[in-house]
Amino acid sequence: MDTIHTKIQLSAESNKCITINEDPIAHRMNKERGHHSLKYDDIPVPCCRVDDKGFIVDCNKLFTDLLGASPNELIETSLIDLVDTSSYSVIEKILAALRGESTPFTNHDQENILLKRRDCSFTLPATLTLKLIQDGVGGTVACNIAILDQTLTHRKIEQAEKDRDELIRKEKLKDEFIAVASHELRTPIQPMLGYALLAKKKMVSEEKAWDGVLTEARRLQQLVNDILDVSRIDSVNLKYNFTKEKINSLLTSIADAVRMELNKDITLSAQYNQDEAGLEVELDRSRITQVINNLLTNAVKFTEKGSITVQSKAFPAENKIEIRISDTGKGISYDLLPHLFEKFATKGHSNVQNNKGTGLGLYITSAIVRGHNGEISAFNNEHGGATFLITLPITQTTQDASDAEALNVKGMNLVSNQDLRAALEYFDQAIKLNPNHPKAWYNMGMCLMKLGEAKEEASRCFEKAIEINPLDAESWNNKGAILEMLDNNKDALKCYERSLELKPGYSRAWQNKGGLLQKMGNKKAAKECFRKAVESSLK
Amino acid sequence: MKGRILIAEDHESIAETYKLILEAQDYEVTVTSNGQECIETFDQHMSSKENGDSGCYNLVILDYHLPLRDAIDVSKHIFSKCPDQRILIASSYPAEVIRKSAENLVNEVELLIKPFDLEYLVDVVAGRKSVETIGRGHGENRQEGKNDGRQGVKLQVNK
Repeated sequence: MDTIHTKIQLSAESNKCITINEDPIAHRMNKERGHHSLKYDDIPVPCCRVDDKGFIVDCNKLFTDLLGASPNELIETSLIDLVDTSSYSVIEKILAALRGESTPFTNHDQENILLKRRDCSFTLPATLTLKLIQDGVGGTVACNIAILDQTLTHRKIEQAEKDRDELIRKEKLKDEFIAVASHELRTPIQPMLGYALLAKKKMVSEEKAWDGVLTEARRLQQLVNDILDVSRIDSVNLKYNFTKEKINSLLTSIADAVRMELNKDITLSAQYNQDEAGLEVELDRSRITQVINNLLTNAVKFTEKGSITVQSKAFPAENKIEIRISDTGKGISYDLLPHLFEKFATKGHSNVQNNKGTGLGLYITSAIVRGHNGEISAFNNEHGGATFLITLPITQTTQDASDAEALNVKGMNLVSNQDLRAALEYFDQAIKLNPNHPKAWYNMGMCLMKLGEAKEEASRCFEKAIEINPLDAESWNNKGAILEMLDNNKDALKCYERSLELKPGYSRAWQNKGGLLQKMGNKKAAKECFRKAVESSLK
Repeated sequence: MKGRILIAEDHESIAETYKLILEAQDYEVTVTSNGQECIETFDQHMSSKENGDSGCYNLVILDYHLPLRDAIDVSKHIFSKCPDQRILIASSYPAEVIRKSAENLVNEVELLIKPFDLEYLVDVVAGRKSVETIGRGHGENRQEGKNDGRQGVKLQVNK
């Protein structure tokens, strides 16, 4: 049936609904059915009407807002142009239904689509429902479409999936830990049973038997304590009691204690700059003692002769202190080095004959250092032996920084409830308290971008986020999106590329890059990017 | 002398306790501390045997997790020279782990989970008590029971 496709003139106020007299479709419909015209702006969901070729003839404000466009930009646009390429099959179904072909599509079906905003390369997951409008004689005239934004639901589903994967991963780690731990606990009991029995039967001297039992009992004691520590660390129950301590006196006294038990031909010394003698560092005294003790006793274990030094050096301008524990021993094997700080790292290697430790010391040490907001690393020295390097902050986070985090969290809750403006306030305050908050800048940029406002400011926010965390793929991607919105295609492309470098499976960034290349006229490369986007999202 | 026993155990105190209790039972005990040393000692013993003597030991006791070559490797080597060698694997690893890695052994070995009483060991060596056997040929008739070192449980030995 012929459709008269007339150009619909809209008044200067862009959101006026179209009345019977101007709309030939409604006119025809109402002539047949006698209904009143649909006042779109009275409908509480984003909706539009398309003609029998799938071109939009009308839509409401919620719809234009959802798509980030003005009605002028949307009227006469084909449905195809509103969605991401991955949703083309859905649109094709609609067009087929409009043509009158029989399709599996029925009225009121909900379809999932990916909408493309017109003002940037943002896509939104959404559901689409439609109702075909027939004229009285069996022909399809138009179609009313309602679209619901599913971003919130998707986010919740994504989070739930992430949580579930994390739980599965943790279960596996726990099972592995239990297997090795039970082995480690059983091993010292064997000689204890043996010696006790042999002593009773007078088959071994009492002294030898008691020595054996004592050694193994002590090993068991250390292991049980380590396992408890590990379990506290893993369930994030390890509490630190930060007090100001004179770090160099502490290092010296620990070194002295270890030296007293020493019966090898090695020197052990604590070295520091004289003017740092009274330097106070905020730390948990007993836990840091545990750390230094662990590293020193390891050094002693693996060094036959030469020296072990504990050196400290402060960098007050950067609020940090470096502690190096260096030895002239056998060094760390290159197989072991990448796994050094994992649980039972030394137990997996059948070539390590000197593995009498619990296998948990370095895991616990590294957890304590990180719990102090510090870092630890290890490497082999050029001329033999190994060095462990710890950096610790001199003062721990100030009250302001923890308040900033609380504000950031409040902001994120508001974002989850779609209250972007209020969230912005919180992110702004968080940044005022802690200008280096890793996420507050990013969150502020995201809010501004979603509101479609203050694009320059949003761009600056992402730049700041990147400054604080240069390896964050999401920040690079969003900076690219904003630059695109500001028509700076060249730099936007660079940002997408950097994001993909950091996270090659980042579907959203591939999609953005593809959209941009298409805009810039490079259809072939764009197609490749879209393909990659789909591939990544299926992984 | 009741017989010759070869032991591979990297934990010195444990090896010593085995040696003491078994020598008291009139066995001649040789202790090695890693898989490679055990294989070398076994080969040497095989080549220096007298005529008529099969050269096998009465028993070889292996700790599962040995440095250089583990118990499964050592067992494979021993079975290639002496298919009837009686081998006992002692370990504090979970039984499932060891059963799985012994799946491909052509012959069976006995499995003893640590910690165990030395007197129990003597009974097992003498044949008065039996333990789970693992290795090929035990996939179908193996008893799927728990072997967690609780002693006094008599398990069927499938011969």
